[in-house]
Amino acid sequence: MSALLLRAENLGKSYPAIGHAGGRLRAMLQILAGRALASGSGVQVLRDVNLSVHAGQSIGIIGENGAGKSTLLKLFSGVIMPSSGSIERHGSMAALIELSAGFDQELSGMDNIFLKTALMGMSRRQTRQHLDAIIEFADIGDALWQPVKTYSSGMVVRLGFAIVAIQNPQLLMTDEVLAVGDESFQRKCIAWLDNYLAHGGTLLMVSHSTYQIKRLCPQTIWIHDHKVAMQGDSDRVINAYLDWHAEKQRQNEQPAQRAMNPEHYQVLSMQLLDARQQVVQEIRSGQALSIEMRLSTPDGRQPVAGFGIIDRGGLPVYGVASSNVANAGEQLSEQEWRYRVEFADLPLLPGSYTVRSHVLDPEGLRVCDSLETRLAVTGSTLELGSVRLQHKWQ
Amino acid sequence: MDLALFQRQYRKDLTDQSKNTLAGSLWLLIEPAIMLLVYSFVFSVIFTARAGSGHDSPFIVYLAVMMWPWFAFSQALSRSLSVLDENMGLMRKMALDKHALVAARVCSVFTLQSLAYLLVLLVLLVLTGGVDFTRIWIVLLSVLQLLLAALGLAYLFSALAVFVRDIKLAMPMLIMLMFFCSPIIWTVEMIPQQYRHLLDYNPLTHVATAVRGALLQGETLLSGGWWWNWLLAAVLLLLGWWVFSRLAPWFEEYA
Repeated sequence: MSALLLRAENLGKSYPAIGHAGGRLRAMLQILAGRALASGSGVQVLRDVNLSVHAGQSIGIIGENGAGKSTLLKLFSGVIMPSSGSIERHGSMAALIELSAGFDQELSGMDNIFLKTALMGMSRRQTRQHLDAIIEFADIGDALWQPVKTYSSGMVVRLGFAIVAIQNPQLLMTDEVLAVGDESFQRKCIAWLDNYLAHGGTLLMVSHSTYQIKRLCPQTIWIHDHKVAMQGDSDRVINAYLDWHAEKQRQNEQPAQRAMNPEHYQVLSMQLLDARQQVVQEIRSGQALSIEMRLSTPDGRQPVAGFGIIDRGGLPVYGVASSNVANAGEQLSEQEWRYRVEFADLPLLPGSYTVRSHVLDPEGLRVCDSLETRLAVTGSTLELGSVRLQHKWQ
Repeated sequence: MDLALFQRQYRKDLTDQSKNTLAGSLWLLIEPAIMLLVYSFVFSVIFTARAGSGHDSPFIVYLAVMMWPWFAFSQALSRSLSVLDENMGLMRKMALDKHALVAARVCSVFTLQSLAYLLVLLVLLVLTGGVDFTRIWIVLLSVLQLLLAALGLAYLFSALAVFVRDIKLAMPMLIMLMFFCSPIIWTVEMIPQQYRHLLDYNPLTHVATAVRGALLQGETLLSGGWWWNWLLAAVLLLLGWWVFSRLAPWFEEYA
């Protein structure tokens, strides 16, 4: 295992319920006496975080707003003290936390370069040696001579990132840095990060862009409700995270309307089968999958079957009915039909989907009943969207 | 302590005060000079005070030689109370050595006031000829005592003030009280005999005696209290440093 850069054990943080002066005085006396602050009081923003970061790792941190991601980075970088647990740090580190990146708002960008590098332990002479590189990377033109308070958030981040970039720290922590930069700056940052990681750099990146995390971090931690909900391979963690969002979204929506004529034609059952005819809920992207449904018909006539696939955002991916297909369906009994549709190599990209089966009247005009089930598609990819389109690079 | 941060902050504090003002660094002299004129008018003209026994210099000279050391001391105290607030934005985003911020503030105030002091002494020398520079080392050491004590107190109070806001409100009062309790604008002779021994308990008395003795009387008047001042300064510095170090990691959440 490569060198340990950071280790957190049972890390927790609660902010004191500040309000009355007596509480502040008591807290001060407690700190002076060397006693731990009572962590029961106040707002718990993070608890029980265990994490080791070794040189060369690249770890993404995802989670809802307010989950505690930024607090975690602040704890790691030493801006705030943990309320419980411990942090062990080795080697040099730099952090770009929140958008202002630790600038003095009244000073010009140029003065802030010297301020920030001084804070990072560089002398003025060392800074001057790197000055051109910083200015070129930031690329904010004459704004360099204006006070930072006049900067847009994108410009602030440009400057902040440029200063960190020349430090080349062993461990770099960034918090939503790429989110505010424009396209060309994002590209520049990602190119820099690629190079940084390729040369043994270590990255802890908070981002809401799951694409960027997948792109840069093989490992991801999902912070949920002030603690680590999941940590491991980025694909797995990010899928779980997105599923959770989809679920939350679904709960907020009205329950879908049931079929208009339930006593008429009905979907009796639906199963997803893999290539070995095993019932599955999960399949690897690109493998064979079948949907099998059994439909009931009250009058003995052959009902029309349909299916639809919906992605986690609720967008239809694909759907079709058996209306004009000859020889579709197999009659099991007077009142029961079985339909089966097979995808030789499922072109869905990794993610979670909903598969719906429908039964339509024999004329194929009305949807009489529906049934749905979840399908998880696994795999690892950098492709975007829901479906892999056949294509060829030329 | 983070020296790079100290240097940078020190340089900034030196220039910040007069930044974007019309009179610029003249402000350093304007305020004390006006106060000096007011005090010397009130005392020497209205109250007809005279410099104490052994002093044949005009009252304004007597006043001036102790005025600037006092300004350095009191300004270092009052201005160090705001230094943490001023840099809170930075402290919330970066892990930095907060000791350096306070130390830079105190040292920059002493630097500026010492320069002004030197200038004033030279002017007085030219105008009255009653200033003796041969024992300037006593003055330097006395100012150093004040610097160390101010540094200790600045650490102590700036840290405490983060938790107990009352300190910020009380500080100007305490400074004023200390000013009037010390032989800066008045002479020891003005105090009734039975209370004079109380003055020995004020460390500033010993500083004033040493500084005036050296500059105005050409004598080495280092009382026992002056020597004890070193111990006091060291104790203040250690206490202040200890309290500040203990509290510093928590500033961000209580400020």
